[in-house]
Amino acid sequence: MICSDGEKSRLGIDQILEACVCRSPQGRALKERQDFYAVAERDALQAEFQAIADIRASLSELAPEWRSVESVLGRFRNLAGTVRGVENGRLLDESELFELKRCFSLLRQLASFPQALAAARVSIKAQDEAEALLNPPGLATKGFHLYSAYSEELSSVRHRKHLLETRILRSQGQERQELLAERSLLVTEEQQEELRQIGRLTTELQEHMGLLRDNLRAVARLDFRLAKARLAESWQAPQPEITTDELPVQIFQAWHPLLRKALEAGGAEFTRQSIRLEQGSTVISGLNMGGKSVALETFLLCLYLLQLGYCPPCEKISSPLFDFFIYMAENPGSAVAGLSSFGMEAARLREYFRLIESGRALIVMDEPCRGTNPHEATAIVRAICRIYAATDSCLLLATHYEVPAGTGIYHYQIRGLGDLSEAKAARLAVGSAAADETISTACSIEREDLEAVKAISKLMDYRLVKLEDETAVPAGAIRIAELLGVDEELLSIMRDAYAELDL
Amino acid sequence: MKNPSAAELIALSGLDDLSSLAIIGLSKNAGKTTSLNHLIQAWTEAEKERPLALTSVGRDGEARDIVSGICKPRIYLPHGHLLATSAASLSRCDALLDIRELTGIRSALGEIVIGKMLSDGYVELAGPSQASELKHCEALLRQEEPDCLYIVDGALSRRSPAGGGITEAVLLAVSYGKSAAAATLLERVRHAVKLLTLPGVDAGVRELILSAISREEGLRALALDENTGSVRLLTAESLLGEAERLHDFYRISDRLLFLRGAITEALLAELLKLPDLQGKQFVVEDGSRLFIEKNTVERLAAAGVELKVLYPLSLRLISFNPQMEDGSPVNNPGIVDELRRAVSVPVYDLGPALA
Repeated sequence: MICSDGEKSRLGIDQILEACVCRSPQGRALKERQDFYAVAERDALQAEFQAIADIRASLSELAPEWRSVESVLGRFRNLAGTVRGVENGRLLDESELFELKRCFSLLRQLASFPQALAAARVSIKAQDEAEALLNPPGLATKGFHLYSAYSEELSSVRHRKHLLETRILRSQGQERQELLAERSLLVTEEQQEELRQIGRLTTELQEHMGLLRDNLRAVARLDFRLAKARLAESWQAPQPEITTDELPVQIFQAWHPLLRKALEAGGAEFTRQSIRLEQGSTVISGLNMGGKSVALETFLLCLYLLQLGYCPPCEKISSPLFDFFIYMAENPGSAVAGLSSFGMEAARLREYFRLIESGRALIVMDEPCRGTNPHEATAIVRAICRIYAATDSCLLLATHYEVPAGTGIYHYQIRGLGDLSEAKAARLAVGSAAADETISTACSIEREDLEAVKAISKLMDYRLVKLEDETAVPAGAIRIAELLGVDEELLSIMRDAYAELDL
Repeated sequence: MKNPSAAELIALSGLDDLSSLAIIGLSKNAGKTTSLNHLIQAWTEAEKERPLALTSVGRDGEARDIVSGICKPRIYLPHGHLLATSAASLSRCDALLDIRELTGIRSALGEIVIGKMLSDGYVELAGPSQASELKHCEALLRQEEPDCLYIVDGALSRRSPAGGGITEAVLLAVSYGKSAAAATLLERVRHAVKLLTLPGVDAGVRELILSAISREEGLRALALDENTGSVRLLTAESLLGEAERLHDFYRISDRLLFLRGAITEALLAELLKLPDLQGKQFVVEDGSRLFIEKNTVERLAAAGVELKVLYPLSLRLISFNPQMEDGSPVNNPGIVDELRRAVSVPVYDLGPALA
């Protein structure tokens, strides 16, 4: 995703994906990478979605097995350093050898769930020979230590040490001191033999590390696919359809998990959105507070998550793959830093025009050129739309500026407030502050105002409508100002000024 | 004065009835490790079937004191017992240890590991430093041996977080510390016993505080309003440096203030400036969290403040080491009798360090 840190944070992808819970460090690491499936990886992405679908189909039937798998996954540890150590011939310590033994045991347990593994389309091979190296001969134990059975020398020195320890327990004073001194010599002998055994084990384990790496990669894929399947179930998400390049993007009834959660917490409902994005430019217009930004973010999220290998939050989705995603929503630059906001924006636009020469992009822009004069801004926005209309990329742009219909330029509009009855308007309207309250309220957002804004939001129809013909940019800002209690005298001046523009 | 026998020592400390015990030192080199070794020996001689499960707060059992370089007594543990110690300390144990579990708790000396003694030998304990980690170690040790006696050996003279809430009972190890004067020793011990045996807060309030802690991990203070019964919470990294916030947090109508974490002289000096403290209760987690002098306790009493604890400690035994902090012996034959008269807890000199 090509965007600023602020825009990435605004989109909330990391927060949304917290709901995708991997149990193992291997799964978590794979998830953190946020691998993007490029156009050339179409087959791999389809295989990924098929695996997720197969897991979903088996979740009910194989519920106990999946629970056991998750329990085993939760016990894996990050073995990267230990595996590298073995491969490099570093002498491991006993806790690392225990870790490896535990890992082999867990792999063996996972290998005993063939149906789950088949659904997830991963292969995990038990490493019995490697595991046996870390068990006493012919036995399987839970713990690990350097077993006496590893060598006669070790067995002998420990036996002699044990005999001494029995005498030490019964002794006191000088005799005890002498026995302890004798024991310390045996301890040294024992430690030297233990070191030799660790060296031998490390060497013998080396040939098993290649398969261990493969197995741990499979563990990561299993964990991540299972997590994505569970997330898809909780979202009731569809299996995405990946189409060929010339077909449009089609998204039905999409929603934004974070925004939906926030709205529902406040007692409101999230309006699901649908759209068809052709190659070229799609313009979304609508009055203020109309939800244009939410619509943009929702569609971008769905398409980006798709190419990360997730089933997006919507009812249905079909889309070709893009080479890259571009998101521009902030007003870059800072008045304090002395940077022109439009200057920075122009620089970004320059780069994006260059980028599309090297691949097919999904570009999402939220009210570009809002920081420059409306006359030039309208011209620039129209130009952006015309430029992308002639490419095979998809531009999705929200704007207040008027963009005429044209080849490769498509229009959607948020339905908005519509006609409010006098009664409804009266209920919504906020009273003006009394003269002596004006100063205190001038810089504060009053509770009444917030309630009014919320009430207006509830009356908004946020649904997107496709427009077939050129339509004027919807007006509604002055109406909202009226509802929020701006003085009638000022409103009258606003209306007059607006009428002058139409002439 | 005769040292107690194995059976007497076990009976005095009531180990048979305990599931957990902390050994707290009143100062550096107070004799905690020696006390632990005596307990281990007594347990072995009494041929107890229950295994011991040992850990420490910080490092114990090393050959030399890391600060002073003084030779320290080492811990000799027979086979069959369990320990939770760092991976680095494991390599310095000369016993045969079966690694049973890795705890996921990281310390300065590496991950804390659960091991079982397959042979006798010297061990080095380097356990976790937080109360929650000590609880986690106990849970893992009990997975191995549900009926084990869990013993936490505190390091240096730090009395927190070991004790109260972590273990049921406490053994206090005392020595002359920096002063050979009997009067100083008696005063220190009386004061320590007073703090360690503070009474518990009543059951209803206890439940309220525990419930608040379980809901809010960052809770550092709780106030209970006398009139309305309402509860206010203050969250912070730690109470250190939060005196001003506590000032703003407190209301005259509060009947109780719960303070979580280490309670220092500086903090209480600030709290003593609060208005209208007569009849209020200050509740702390347990007596080992109070790092305050005798005169501060007296000032609290004079202001009408009652000190109580969330987790009352059962102080079973005081183990007396007749040496200074630097290891030099002090010859005072009647001192143990004087200590016994000063406090109502059994006091014994368990004897010299076991080799």
